[in-house]
Formats: sequence, structure tokens, C-alpha cells
Amino acid sequence: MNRALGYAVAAVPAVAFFATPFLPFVDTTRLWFGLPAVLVWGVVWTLGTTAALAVTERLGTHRDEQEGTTA
Amino acid sequence: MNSTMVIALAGMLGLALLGASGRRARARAHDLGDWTVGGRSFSTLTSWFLQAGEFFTTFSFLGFAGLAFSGGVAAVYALGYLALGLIPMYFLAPRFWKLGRDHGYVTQADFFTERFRSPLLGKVVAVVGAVFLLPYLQLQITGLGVIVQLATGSHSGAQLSMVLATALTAAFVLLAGIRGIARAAYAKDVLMVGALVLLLVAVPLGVSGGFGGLFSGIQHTRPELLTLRQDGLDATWFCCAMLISSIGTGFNTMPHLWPALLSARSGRALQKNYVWLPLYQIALAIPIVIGFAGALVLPRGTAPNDALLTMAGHALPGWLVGVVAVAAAGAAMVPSAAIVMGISSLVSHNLLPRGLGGRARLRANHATVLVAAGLALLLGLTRPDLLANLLLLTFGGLAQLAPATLAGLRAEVRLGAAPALLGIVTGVAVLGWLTFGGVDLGSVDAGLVALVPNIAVTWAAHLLLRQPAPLPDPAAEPATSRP
Repeated sequence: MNRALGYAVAAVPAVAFFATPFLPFVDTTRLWFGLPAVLVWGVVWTLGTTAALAVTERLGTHRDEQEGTTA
Repeated sequence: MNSTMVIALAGMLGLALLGASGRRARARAHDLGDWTVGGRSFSTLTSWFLQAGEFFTTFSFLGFAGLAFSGGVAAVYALGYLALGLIPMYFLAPRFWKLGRDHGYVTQADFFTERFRSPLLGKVVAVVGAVFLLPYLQLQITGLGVIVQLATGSHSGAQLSMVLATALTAAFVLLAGIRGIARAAYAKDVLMVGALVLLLVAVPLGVSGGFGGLFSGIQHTRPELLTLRQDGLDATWFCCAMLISSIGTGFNTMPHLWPALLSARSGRALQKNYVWLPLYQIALAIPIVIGFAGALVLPRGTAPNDALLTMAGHALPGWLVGVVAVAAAGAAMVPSAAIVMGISSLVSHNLLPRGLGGRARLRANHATVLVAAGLALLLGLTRPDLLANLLLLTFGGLAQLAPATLAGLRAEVRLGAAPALLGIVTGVAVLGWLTFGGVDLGSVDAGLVALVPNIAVTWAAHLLLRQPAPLPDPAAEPATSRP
């Protein structure tokens, strides 16, 4: 269960990055905090990747992976 | 020779000396395994710098700023692919590392040889890796020449620096192997982050209205740079570029990244690094901001790759431009060192006859370092475009190793060597045809398209060539099932 949840959490930044050009509020000429919205979105989800992997780490997914019994 | 040039050359020498100081005692220096993977004893911190150091290349300095200069927010794909590449590696790296420790891998090709029990497949992967890495090595050396030329304004100085940096890089790699790369990576990463922060402060100050005025200026004069709806740099391009690049990094298909992974003390050390490495990659947003500043200030005809250092030249005094040039040169030297090590270990460890003794193999390895570095330098100086076409294939070509790599990670590898080999060869051949055959794919990445026949051929060959399951032996049935 934890393992599946770990994969799901880790997939969130991937979904966010690939959604970038399809979100009208992101792919816009408007600025967020004085910066291009796409750039801010990219930086936020780069931070979000660390957050997602930290959550995955907390869920203990690594204990299964460390054994190296499965890919 | 101006002060910028003196600082740039002195900085390169300093980086090489730092790298050479990683040399081990004589007894260990004759061991190819220790030279390549450092006895698999690197701490989490050392692994961090090695891995981070190889993500930031001359392309990070010049290319991302250049892409932002000409294509605006399209350059954000780099943030995406680097972060996304780390997610699969968080899960897979401990498995790669454990297999490497258990079976004594030194190279990527060792993985294919052992997992598929096929020296032939290992040799093919070694050839593919070495051939595709050579243009990548040349790119770093040529990029270093561009950096020094832009920083100093001297063409002859640029050529001198290319020769010097190549010689220094080869020297410290030969002397200290991966330990030398790790030491140089410490200094290079600190310098590089310092230089980028300096540029982030200084360059927007030179723009009318400062940092706040920079993007409102873009909004009024070049609004197309703020969206992913440009010709050739649209949503399809963005997603394809991000996907193929993250497949390459996420499934560990680049041969020169293997020594850094295999040299770690444990799989957990790597895994912890993958959690935090994305934070470091945020620094890549800085060249993108500088590229935007260039788009606002520089003439449209400016070569995109010149944007960052031209803006640095406008904003900083000569000696600070020299410091930025040293950081950028480090971004060429450290990845070059890893690439040349990747090529030499594939050749000496996987392509030379098995019967060769340890010392002879190490001598052959060191000769390969010199030949590869010399060849890349010679082509960079005399025929800079000769390998450019091959470079088009590098990332997409190495990504063709991803399906077999994934199959090889299973505890019990069910895919045979022949289907894996057929898939790789098909993928690379289709990629070559798509790239050089004049096939118009629009903004879809050719490497991504080539993965489709790669996987199809692998799967079809797997079904055709697999051994039929043995019929049940009636004599072996349990006694309880008999009447």
C-alpha cells in the first residue's frame, strides 16, 4: 500500500510538468510575482519534486527497493 | 594577455590541480576498478557533488540562456527534464548500485553483459556508448572555447584555452580517476553557483527598470517569449523534449553517469541525494533569466549561445567576468572528465580481449583517454561541425537503451539478449533514418518515435525466440495426485 502510494506521490510533479502547456493560467503572457508564469510553475514543481520524493521517503518505499528483489 | 584571460587560465589550472590532488597511493592507482568507481566507498556528500557536477555542463551555461534568448519559456523544459529524470532514478538507483556491487560492474556495458549473459550485447552497448559520447565530449571542449572567446574577446586565446583545458582535464583524470573528478566537482559547483548568483544580481541591474522592469519589458516588446505557443517551440516540442531527455537520465542510459552511481557507498546514499538534487537544479532558472535579459537588450541577430557571457561582459568588470569564465570552464572540464572516463572504461574494460592483464588494461585505458580527448580537441579546433550531426543522435540514440535497461533490472531477466540487441539496433537505425533521411516529424522528437519500433521489435523477437515451457513430467507429479 505504502509502495503504491509512494509511486503515486512521486508521479504528481511529472503530471504537473507535462500539463504545463495545457493549463491556460500557466501558459499565459501574464506575470506571476514579476516573472513569467511558466518559469514560476517550473521552479515550483522542481521544488515540488523534492517535496514529493521526501514524502515518498517518509512512506518508507525505499525499504522495499533497497532489498533489490524487484525493479 | 588581459586580466580576464589570466584569471580564466589560472582558474583552469587550479581546478586541474585540485583534481590531481585526488590521486591515491601507488598500489591502488594501478587498479582500473578503483580508478573508475573509487572502491565503491564514496560518501553521500561526495556522491552528491559528483552527480550534481555532471548535470551542469557548458550547455547549462550557454545553451539554456541561448534557448531563453531565442525561445523564451521553452527553456523551462530543462527544469522539467532534470527533475523528472531524478524520479525514476530515486526508485531504480539502489537496484543499479546493488547489481553493480554484487557483480563488480565498472561500466554500463557490464550491466548488459551480466544481466543478459551476453558479451556480444555488452560489446555493442560499449560501442554505441563510446561513439555517441565522443561528440558530447567535443561539445564541451568547443563550448569552453566559446566561453573563453566571449569572456576575453580573443580567438587565439580561446584556442589556447581549449588545448590547455583538454590537456589539464586528461592529466587529472589519468592521475586521479573518479576521485579527481569528485574533487574538481566540489570547486566547480561552488564556483558555478556563486557565478550564477552574481549574474542574477548584476545583469538585471543593467536593464532599464531593474529586475522588475525586465519581464514587464518582455511582456510589452516580446510577449511571444512568455508562452509555449511559438513556431517549432510549442506544446508538442515541450512535452517531447522533456520526455526523451527524462527517459535518458531517468533510466540511466548515459554511460558516463554510471561511474558516479557505482562509486557510491550505498544505494541509500544515492537515494537520499535524489530527494534533494532538484533543489540544486533550481539554479538553472538563472541562465534562463539572463537569456530573457539578453532578449530585451541585445540585437536580435546575436548568436543565442553568446547571450549569457555577452550580458556578463556588459554588467561586470573584467576580473569578475574572468571568475564567471572559470566557473563556466569548470562546467566544461568536470563533465568532460566524466565523459572521457566513460569512453575509456567502455573501450578498455568491455572491448579489449578478456585475457589482458590488469596493468596492460589500465595502460590501454589511459591511452584511450589520451586518444579520445585528443580526437575531440582536434575535431573541435579543425572541423567543429563534423560531429555535430552525430550529436543530434546522442540523446535519442542512448535513450534506445532504456527498454532493455528496464528489462535487465528484473530479479529474473526474461528478455533474451537477441531481442534486446535487435530492439536497440532497430531503434538506433530508425533514429538515424528519421534524423538524416529528411523525414518531417514537425516538433515531435525523433528519439521518441524511434522508441516505438524499438519496443515493438524487442517484444516481437521476444515472443518468437523465447524457449517453449517444458512439458510437465508425469513422473515428477506429487504422489498425492496419483490414484
